[in-house]
Amino acid sequence: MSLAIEVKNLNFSYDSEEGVQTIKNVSFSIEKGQYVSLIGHNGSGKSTLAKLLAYLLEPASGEIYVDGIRVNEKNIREIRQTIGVVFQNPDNQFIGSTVEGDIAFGLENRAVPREKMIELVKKYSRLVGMDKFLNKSPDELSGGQKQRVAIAGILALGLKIIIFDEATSMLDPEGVEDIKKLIFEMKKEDPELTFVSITHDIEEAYLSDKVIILNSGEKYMEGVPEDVFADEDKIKSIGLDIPFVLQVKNALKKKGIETPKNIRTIEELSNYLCGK
Amino acid sequence: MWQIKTNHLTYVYDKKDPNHYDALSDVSLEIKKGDLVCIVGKTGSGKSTLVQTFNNLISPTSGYCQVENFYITSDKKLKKELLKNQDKSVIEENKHVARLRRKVGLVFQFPEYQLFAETIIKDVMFGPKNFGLKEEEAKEVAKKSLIEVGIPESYFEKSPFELSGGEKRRVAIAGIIASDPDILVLDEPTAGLDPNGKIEIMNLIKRFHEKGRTIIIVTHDMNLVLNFAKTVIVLNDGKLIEVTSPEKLFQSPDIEKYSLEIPTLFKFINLLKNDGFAGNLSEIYDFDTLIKRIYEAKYE
Repeated sequence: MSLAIEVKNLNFSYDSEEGVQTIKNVSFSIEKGQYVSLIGHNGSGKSTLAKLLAYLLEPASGEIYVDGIRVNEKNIREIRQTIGVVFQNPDNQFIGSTVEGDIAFGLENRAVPREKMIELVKKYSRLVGMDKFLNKSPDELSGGQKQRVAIAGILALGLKIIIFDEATSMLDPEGVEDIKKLIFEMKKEDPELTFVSITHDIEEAYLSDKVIILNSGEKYMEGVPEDVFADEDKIKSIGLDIPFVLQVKNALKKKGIETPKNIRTIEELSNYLCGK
Repeated sequence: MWQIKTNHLTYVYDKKDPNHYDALSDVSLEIKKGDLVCIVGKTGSGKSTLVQTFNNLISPTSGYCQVENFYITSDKKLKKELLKNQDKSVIEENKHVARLRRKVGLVFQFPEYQLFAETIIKDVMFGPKNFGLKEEEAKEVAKKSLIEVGIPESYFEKSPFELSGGEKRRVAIAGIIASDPDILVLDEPTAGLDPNGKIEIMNLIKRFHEKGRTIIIVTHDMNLVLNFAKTVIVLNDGKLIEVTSPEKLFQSPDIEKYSLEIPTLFKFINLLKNDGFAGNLSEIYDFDTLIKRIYEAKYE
């Protein structure tokens, strides 16, 4: 499988004079079609990394490849046909004066024909549950509703790589589930769609294809969830938690009850403990 | 003794809109002084609307909200009726919304997005100055509040934008407690924070509560409800469903009807029950008891 994103020795600092480096020599790769969770405590550099990947910030040094193309200031427009980010604060990304206008904004910029644009706005506003609010202005919407609009705006563009930077943090659990299902549906339709989720949801991370952990701007761990979360002490030493299912498995192990390695969900663990 | 009461409170955002609906509908409840209350419900259930009536940021379309002696309603006839035969002091108090807002501090969702001043101390001083304190007095109050939320003095002259997410949120909360509110209302105080950040903020809120303040939290975080709330108010589609305790709520079969996420511990216990686990699963409220019961079922 070829790579969707490759990062080599990336460095960045917001204020080079103060010498505080936000991203320190970070390297990793993401294959096409993977669902990757990027986790780390607040201030670990996750959002900065998302901005660097979309070239909203310019690296101090290092290389970023998106879909095989090395990103630089000359090909930003081309790169942004491939990669898009939905950020946490929806107020900073609401551009249109109405929901409809906001979802259409990116499409207009790409000169999508009017008929097609109307169709896409309708489709994605419906998929995120905002089709009844098309004429509403942002000040009439809740934080969660604005996040849904921002998500629709990015999904409508048909990008190959989507990054959600805590993009569902203002949604209720049902809303978060709806959006996750939508992403999985889209991935089913297009197996090459790559999805990067910047999240504090450890349970979500445990079910990803790959987990990357940042700590103080450095890559702390990278790998499949089973390997990454296996080292409970290492995870907890940087203020992160391990998934509930692993907490139960580890606590039972300490009491001498072994459970099979391949159990990843509480449903599977319950089945096992009930002898099913 | 109640400190906040709502009586048949109904709120409609835009009555002129042909598609208007009741964001809150006929809500009557009481919140006790010194309680730690979590208000839960899915998006659009009316949680944030309800707490905004507590400091008169919005006024009920009909019915009223009462915070101690202050009556909040946009129904002028009703307000006149409520103030009839009241003491002069109560009538006078009802003329000063600013005093109510000092009493009820409201911390919005993602309050760090509202930080604006060039230094942390100036940001926190903004509220007290608005409430009429002089520069020096406001500075003293701001310092005290920042120390209360755990921001060291060496940070005071820094830009708030240099701080981490959890620190920014603590500065934003300091800005509200600088006005020394009796009632602290927080809308999703732990959203977007890492586990340590969540614990920091919740310990901070617990400290305020231990000082006798009434705490009202709007949240989707059911683990927070389980570990901190004394009382839970459940809203659904603008209606009050129930006022209950966390333990009762999470064992109620209705919980999924209101799209509330059950804490993982209870989800797992329910799964074990449904799968026919051969052991005692009653009255488990914490992780250690769960592990103990599984062990007992296997070996005892």
